[in-house]
Amino acid sequence: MRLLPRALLPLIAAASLAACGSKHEDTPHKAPDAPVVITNAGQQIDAIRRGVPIDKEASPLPMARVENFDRVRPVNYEMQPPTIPHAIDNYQLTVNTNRCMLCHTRSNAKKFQAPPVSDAHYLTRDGKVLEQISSRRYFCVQCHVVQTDAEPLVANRFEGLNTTLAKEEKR
Amino acid sequence: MTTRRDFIRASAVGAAASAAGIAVPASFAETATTAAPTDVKWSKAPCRFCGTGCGVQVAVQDNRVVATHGDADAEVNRGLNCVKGYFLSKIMYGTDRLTTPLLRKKDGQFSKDGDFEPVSWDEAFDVMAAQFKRVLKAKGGTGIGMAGSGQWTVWEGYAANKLMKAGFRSNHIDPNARHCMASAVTGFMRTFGMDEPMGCYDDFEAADAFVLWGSNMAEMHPILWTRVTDRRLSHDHVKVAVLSTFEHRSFDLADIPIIFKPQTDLAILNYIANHIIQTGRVNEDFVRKHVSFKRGNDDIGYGLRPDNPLELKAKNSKDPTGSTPIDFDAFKAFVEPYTLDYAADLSGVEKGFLKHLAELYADPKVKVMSLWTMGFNQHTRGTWANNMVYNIHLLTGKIATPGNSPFSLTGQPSACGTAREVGTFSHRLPADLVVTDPEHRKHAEEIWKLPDGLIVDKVGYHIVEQNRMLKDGKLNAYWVMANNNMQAGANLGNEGYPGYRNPDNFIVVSDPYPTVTAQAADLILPTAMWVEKEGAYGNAERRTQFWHQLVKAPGEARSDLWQLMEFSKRFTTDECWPADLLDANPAYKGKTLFEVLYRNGKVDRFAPGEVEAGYANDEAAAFGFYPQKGLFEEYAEFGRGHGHDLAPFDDYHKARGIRWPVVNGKETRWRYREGADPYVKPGTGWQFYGNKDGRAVIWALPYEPPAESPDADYDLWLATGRVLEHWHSGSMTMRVPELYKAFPSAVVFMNPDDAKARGLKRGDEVKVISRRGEMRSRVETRGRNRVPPGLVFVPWFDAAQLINKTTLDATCPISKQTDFKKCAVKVVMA
Amino acid sequence: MDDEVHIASFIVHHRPDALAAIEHLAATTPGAEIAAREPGRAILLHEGGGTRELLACMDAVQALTGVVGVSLVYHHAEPRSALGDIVPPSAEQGSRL
Repeated sequence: MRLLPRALLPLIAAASLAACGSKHEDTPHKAPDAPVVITNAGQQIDAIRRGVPIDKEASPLPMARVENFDRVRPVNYEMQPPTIPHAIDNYQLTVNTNRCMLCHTRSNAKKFQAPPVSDAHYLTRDGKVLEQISSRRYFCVQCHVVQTDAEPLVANRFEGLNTTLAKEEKR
Repeated sequence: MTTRRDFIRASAVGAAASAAGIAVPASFAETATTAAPTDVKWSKAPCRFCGTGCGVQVAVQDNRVVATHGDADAEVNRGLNCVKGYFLSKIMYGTDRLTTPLLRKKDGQFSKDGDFEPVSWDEAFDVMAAQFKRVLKAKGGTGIGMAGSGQWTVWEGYAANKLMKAGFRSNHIDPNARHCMASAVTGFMRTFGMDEPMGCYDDFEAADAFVLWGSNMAEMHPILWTRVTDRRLSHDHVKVAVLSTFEHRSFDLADIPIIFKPQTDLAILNYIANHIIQTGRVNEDFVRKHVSFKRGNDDIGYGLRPDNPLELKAKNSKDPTGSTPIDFDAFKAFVEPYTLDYAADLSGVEKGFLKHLAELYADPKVKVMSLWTMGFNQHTRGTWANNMVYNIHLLTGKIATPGNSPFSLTGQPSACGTAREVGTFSHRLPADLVVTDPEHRKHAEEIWKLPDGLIVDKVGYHIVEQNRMLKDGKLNAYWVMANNNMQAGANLGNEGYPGYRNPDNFIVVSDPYPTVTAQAADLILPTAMWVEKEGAYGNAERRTQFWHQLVKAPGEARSDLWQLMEFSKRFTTDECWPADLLDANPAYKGKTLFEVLYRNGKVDRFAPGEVEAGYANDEAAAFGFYPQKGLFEEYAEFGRGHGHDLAPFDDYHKARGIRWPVVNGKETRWRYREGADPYVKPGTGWQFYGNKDGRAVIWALPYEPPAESPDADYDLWLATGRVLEHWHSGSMTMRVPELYKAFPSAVVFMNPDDAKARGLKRGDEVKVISRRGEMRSRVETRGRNRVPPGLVFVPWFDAAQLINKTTLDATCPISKQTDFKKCAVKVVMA
Repeated sequence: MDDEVHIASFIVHHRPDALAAIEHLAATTPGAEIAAREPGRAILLHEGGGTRELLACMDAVQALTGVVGVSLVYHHAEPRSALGDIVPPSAEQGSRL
C-alpha cells in the first residue's frame, strides 16, 4: 500500500473530521508502522492448538479416517441418537433418494442386519403416530454422525444416566 | 399426615407431570421436595447453541447434568434436537475447564510477558481495577472497551450495557453479534424503522416456497430445516430454492439449485424486482398504501481503515447511509438495467433457474419465505442485501402474513434477545434506542435514575474498530466476555493479535474454557456456563426463553453477571464521572458504581426468596437480592408500550418461551399486520409503525463489486463458515468427544480439478495464503461441500487452524459487519 | 448395604390402541401403577427393591406393541426403614440444590 504524499494528509484529515461531526469517536487515519507486540512463546493453554503459539503455524493433524466397524456403539443416555458405526461416503441422502432407509427401515432391518429406526421417528410434529417414518426425520445426518479415528484433544468427564444407573446396580 | 413414602411418590409423579406438561392428579398432590443425591430432576432450558432456540429438558442428578432430550412441548422443535443439541449434557465437562482466575505474572507481580498463575478473585479484581483506573485517569471512559456477546443472557447484556455506558461512560461496548447480525439490524432499521422479523416460525408450515439466500440451513439451523423438509416432502406443490457460492447439504432438498458468483446476489435481487415490475405483478394497492421509496448512496467503500486506497477512492465512504427520497417510477427505472440476460451473465447462473426463482416471488399465488443468515449479513453490501430482499416482498405485498415471510435467521442463541434488544452495541441503548439521540439518552437516564447528560453522545468503537484501536493504543483496558474474538475476528495477524499484546493494553477475558482469546489475554476469569446460572435467551422468532440454575459452576467459576456486578463495587462515581456532572448532582457523589447501577431501588427490589422453590441462584445469594428479576423488570420498562413489550418475569419461567410484543398476556406472531399485531390500527391492513409515516421503505441500490477478488497472484475465492457438528469457534463442541470425532479438524474444501491443477490430492498438507497471512491445513476434495472451480471453503471452528489469519477486515460500511465470505487466497503445497 | 426401596416415575409415549396393554402390564407388575394419563401419554410410577427391577419394568413397557418411547424422569432410593417417617408440614420450602 503506497503512502500518500505528505501534503495531502492534513487536507484529508480535516475533511474527514468535518464530515464526521460529533457522531463518531475520532479514529486515527493510519496504524502505527510496526507496533510493539509482547508475546509469550512458552505457556500455551488452549490444548486444541497443541502447544503452537497463536502467531505460529505447524503441520495440521493427519486426515482422520471414518470408523467403519459396523459394531453398535453404546449411548450415554436413552435419548441420544446413536453414532453411525460405518462410513457413509457416497450414500445419497437427497430429496430424490434416501440410502439410509434401504437398510434401516423396520421392514428391511433384519435382512440387512441393521438397527431399525426407533419408534420415535414415526411421530409427526403434532404427535400423531404414522405408519411410515415422519418426513421431519428425513435427513438422518442432522442427528446421527460418523466417528473418525481422531483422538480427542481434551478429555471430557461427563457421566450419563446410564452410567449412574449402572453404578448403582453394581452396589 | 404424609409419610416419606407418600412424599417421595408424590414428588416422582409431580416431576414427571411437570416434564410432560400433564396435570397432576389430585391423588398425587404436589409437595415441595428435598433433592437427595440419587434423585433425577428434569427441568426445561433452551439449547445453548444456535439462534433456532430449541427447547430441551435437562436431567440433573447430584449436581451434575446427566442427560438432556429435546423438549416435546417446545413449540420450536417439538422434541427434536440436532446432533449438537443431543450432546448438550457434555459441554460443561471438558477437563480443561477454567476454575480459578489466571494472571500473567513475573516475580509475583503482574507482567504482560509472564506465565499465567492462579490467583484469587480478590487479587484478580485488584489488578484489574488498578489497570482500569489507570486508564480512566489518563483518558476517561474513552480508553475502556468491552467485547460482549450474543451468548450473554439478557440480564448479563443489560448489566454490561449499564456498567459501560453509564458506569465507565464508554460507548465502546460491542458484541460479537456485530460479526453475525449487524447487517440484518441495519437492514431492518432502514426498511422498517424497527429491528427483528415480522414473521415467526409458524411461517414454515404455511409457505409454498422457501428460498435460501446464501444460508446452509441443513447444517446451521438444522431443526428449522426439519420443518422445511417436513413441509416440502408432505406437500407436492412446495418448492425449495437454494442459492450459494458453492454446493452444500441444503442443496440435497433443492428444486431450484443456484450457484452464483460471489457478490452477484445483489444483481439477482434487483433482477427479481425488475421481473416483478416488468411482468405487471406489483401489488399496486399495497405499494400505494404501505411503501415509500428511497435511493441510497452508492460507492460507499468497504469499512477498511480510512487511509486505505479503497476508502479514499470511494465517493461516499464518509456518508454510506445517505439517501434521497424517490418514487415508484424512479425505482422502476433504477432496476430496469437488471435484465435476465444481465443477471445471468454477471452471476453465471442459468437463465431458466433465475426465471423460475423470480416467479416464486412474482406469482401472487405463491406464499414465499426467504431465509438468510451469513451469506447476506457477512457481506460488504450486507445492509443492501437485506434491504433488497425486503424490496421484493414489499413490491408484492408478501409480508407479515402466514407463509409470506422475509425471515432473517439469527446465528447466536441471544443475538436477538440480548445484543440487539438490550442494545449492547456501540451506538445503541435498549429497545432500538440510540446514543446519538438526546431524547433517547434522556429516556435511558430516567429509567436508570441517573443524572441528565451522563450518557456519552458519540458512537463508540464497534468490534472490528476495537481491534484496530487496541493495536493503535487508543483502547487500553479491554474486557472480553462470552466470545472468542481472537479466533473470530478477521485479519488476525495484523489487526487482532497485536492489539492484545500491545504493552499499553490490559486485556481481560472471561470464558469457561482456555480459548485462543484467553491465551492472548493478561487476565483470565473462569466463567459459569449455561445451566450453571439462571438465564434468558431470545431466539430468531422473538421468543424469549428462561431457565433456572440447575447445577453449580466448578471450582471458583462465576457467571458473567456476578463478575460485572462485583467488579462495579470497586469504582466510585468520583473516579468515573466528570466533576461538573457530580457538582450538578451532588447526591451521586462518593457512591460506588454498584450502588448507582444495581442498588438503585429497582434492580435490587426483589428478594432472594422469590427464586422458585427447588432451584439455586448463586447471584441472589451473593448480592442479597434477585438481580436477574430486578434487571429484567427495569429493562422491560424500555419496551413496554412501545412495540417491544415483554411479559412479566415470572411468566417466562412457566412458559416454553413467549414471542414479543406480549400485550395483555398474548404473544404476537405476525408484527405490522392488522389483527395479529395489537399495535396496528384497525382498518389499516398493514402498519409499519417503526417509521413515522407507517410505511416500509423500498431501497434503490445497485450491484457493486467486492473489496477483494481473485487475481493473478491470489487466484481463488476464500469463503469461510461452519459445519453441523461444531458451533462457532468450537470452544464447547471440540471438547465433546462424539462431536470432535465426527469432524476433528478444519480442512480446505477444494474442487478436484483445482487440486489436480495445483498438483494436490486429498489429504495433502497445504498453505492457504492471502495478502494478510497464511494458515496450514489439508485438502479435502470430497464430502459435504462440493465447491466450484475457483473457490475454496474453510470452516473456522478449529483453534489449531485460524483461517482468520488470511481473511480481510472489510465490512459493510453501514453495518460494520465483516465480510467473511469473500477474499482472495492461493493454495499451495506446504 | 442398607435395604433400599427405589421409587421412580417415567413417561410412556404410546399409540392409543396400546393403552390396554400398558394398563394390563401395570396391573400385573408388582410395584407398578399408572399415575396419570392423557391421550398418547401415561405416567408410570414404580416402586421396587432396586434398579434391576426398575429397568426390567421399563424394558417390558418398551417392548409392548404400540409403545413409542419410555423416558425415565425421577428416581429416588430411600432406606426402607425411613419410609414410614412422618414428613413435617411445609418442611423443605425453597430448598437449594
